[in-house]
Amino acid sequence: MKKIYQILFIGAVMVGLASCKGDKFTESIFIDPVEDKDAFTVEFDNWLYEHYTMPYNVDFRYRLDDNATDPNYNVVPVSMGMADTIAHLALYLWYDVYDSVAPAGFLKENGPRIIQLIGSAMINASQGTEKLGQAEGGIKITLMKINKMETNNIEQLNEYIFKTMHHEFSHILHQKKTMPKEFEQLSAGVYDPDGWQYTNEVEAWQKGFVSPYAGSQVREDFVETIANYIVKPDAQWEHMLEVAAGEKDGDKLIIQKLDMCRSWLAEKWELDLDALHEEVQMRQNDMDWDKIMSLGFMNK
Amino acid sequence: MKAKYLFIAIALTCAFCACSREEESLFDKSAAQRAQEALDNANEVFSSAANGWEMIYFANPESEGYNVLARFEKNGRLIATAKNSATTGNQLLSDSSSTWAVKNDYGPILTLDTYNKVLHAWADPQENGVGLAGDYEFLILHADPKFVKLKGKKYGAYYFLYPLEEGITNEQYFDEVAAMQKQLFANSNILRLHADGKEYMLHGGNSGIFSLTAVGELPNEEEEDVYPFATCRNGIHLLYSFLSLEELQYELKDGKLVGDKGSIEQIAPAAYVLQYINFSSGSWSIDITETCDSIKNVIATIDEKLKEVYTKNKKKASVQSLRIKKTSSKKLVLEFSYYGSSSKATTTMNYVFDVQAEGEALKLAYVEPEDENAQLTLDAFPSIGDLLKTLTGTYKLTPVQPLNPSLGLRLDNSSNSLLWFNMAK
Repeated sequence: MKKIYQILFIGAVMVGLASCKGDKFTESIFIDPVEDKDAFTVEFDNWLYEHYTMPYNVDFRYRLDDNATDPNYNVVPVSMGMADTIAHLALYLWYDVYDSVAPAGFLKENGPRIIQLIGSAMINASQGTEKLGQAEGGIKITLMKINKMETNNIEQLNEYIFKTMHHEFSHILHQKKTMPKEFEQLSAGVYDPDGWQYTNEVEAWQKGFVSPYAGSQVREDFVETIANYIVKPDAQWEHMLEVAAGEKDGDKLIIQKLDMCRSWLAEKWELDLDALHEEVQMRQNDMDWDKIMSLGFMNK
Repeated sequence: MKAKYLFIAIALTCAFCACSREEESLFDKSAAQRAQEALDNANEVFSSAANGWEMIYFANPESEGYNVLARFEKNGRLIATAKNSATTGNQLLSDSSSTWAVKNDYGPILTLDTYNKVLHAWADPQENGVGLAGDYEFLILHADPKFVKLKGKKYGAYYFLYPLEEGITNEQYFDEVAAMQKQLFANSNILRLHADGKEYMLHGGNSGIFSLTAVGELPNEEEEDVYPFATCRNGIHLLYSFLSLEELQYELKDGKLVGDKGSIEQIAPAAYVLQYINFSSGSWSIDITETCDSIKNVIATIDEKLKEVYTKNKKKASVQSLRIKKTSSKKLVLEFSYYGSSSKATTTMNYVFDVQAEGEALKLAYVEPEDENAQLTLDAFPSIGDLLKTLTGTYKLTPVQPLNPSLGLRLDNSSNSLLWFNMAK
């Protein structure tokens, strides 16, 4: 009887092993690049695979699946041309920035898994608002209004795309390692989750927030401080502090918050916030389009 | 006892017999196989049209119809071309930089998943969040190489695709559509539909949405009966069929728009002329250059007299135009305009005419000058009286385009074959 069990056990193990034999474990959680060599988008898809999926484990989605959007809004897909441009720009002004500053493999491990581009914003005409980006569960970042981007307007690109990416990515980071408890005390009782949109920029600054949205809740305050510091040129940051000084010393509060973010990123993530800021500023001042748009300029 | 066992045995046999027959499947393939086949078929069909598809595009169920030429290439590229006032500023616009795909989502779906300047223009939310409320994902309701029917996933309008014959260029296609639009709807042309034993007026053809009113009945202002449609190269294509008629396509044949079960026609030309004068406050211009010798000669005589009187404007003094119209005092008149006085503007005088339809013919009868000035002008230029008398008569009307007589009518005097003239709106 024992023998029968032994034979059955060995047989089961063999069957089990045989069934695993065909599996191919790749470095990415996503499927291999397009198999149709004649596809219209094959060159771009392969480029995305080579420059996003392989090095960063990111599915860079430019085709729009209506099921993946909020049915309460009308949106349209991004154009192939803008998808191509933004994909290159994001490498230059975002991914390569972290690669230059962060520890090896940092983005591959912690970065978003999916980036979805949408051509239009999500417009709520009755409230007069438009949604330009959103992050879902630290996995997916959706960037909107891409078809309307002026690619040589760095301020607009920052506002709608790169600041949003730093913002959403910072959310991912503080969801993995909690933000400093002391930060939560700095503006406690001042946050206004329902009425922040009625505050203008100067009022927000003077209350110690880098933007009106930072005044909505503590976690938005935290990520807005990081994102704004990274993308804002020094002159703009200094101007904000000057205006923020006002009567309530908003500048001191912003500086205090920035210091906390700086220390937290250094301690928890080995990230130098000032180095990130410097790298972004250097790249923003050197927008060499031939370099940016040349395929595979990063040679990873 | 035996009987009891026998009964049980028979009952069991029957029961097992009932169970022994497997229920036959309605389909010979699994749901997954059928879904995949539907996708493969749709993919094949879309890319099968060598010269692409003529797409009759209704952005939403209330939208006028638009013409789009769409080529779905096997490699996933979509090339679309359109020309209309709503999205292309009446310029021919082509975009060959976007993609299409067929996917499964409660049935096969056609998705236009990257932005196409032509086809996404209707779906773009613009400033108000809705834009022209068009779709870019469509349920594939029917797909064969000769016809595809789609339904917008969000707004639910229907879209119709027909293969475009080879050899037709984009420019040719849209030129032919524009020519058909002019032929059918120029000058706010009103058509007549015969359906359900009644006659209906079809207004608003220029807007791409017909308003339907039964002849002799007042329009229902609270709930207007409207029918969106697109003009095609050979006729019109409706979004929904008229009343109880089931057809969507009407082809121009022998001066009618003909469907399988109904037709769209025009009323008799004489009645048409009066309809436009009486109901549309329109006027009919008589062509004073392309006309018979009798009328030409009378006009030449008037011109000579004008030159004699208006010596300062000798070179310019001449008859400018003749129009049949209704004045503000609701009199039907012949408006006689001439250039001659010292002022730079033309001078117009009205002469009352009795204009009536007599069966297929139109009867024109001069009555009197409308006012004192018209009388004084008539006294000064008696040959105007000759013109008014010459025009008086009964005319047979021949439209250049039977469905749209406003584009041009030839009037032949019934009792004098040498007397004729042309007029148009």
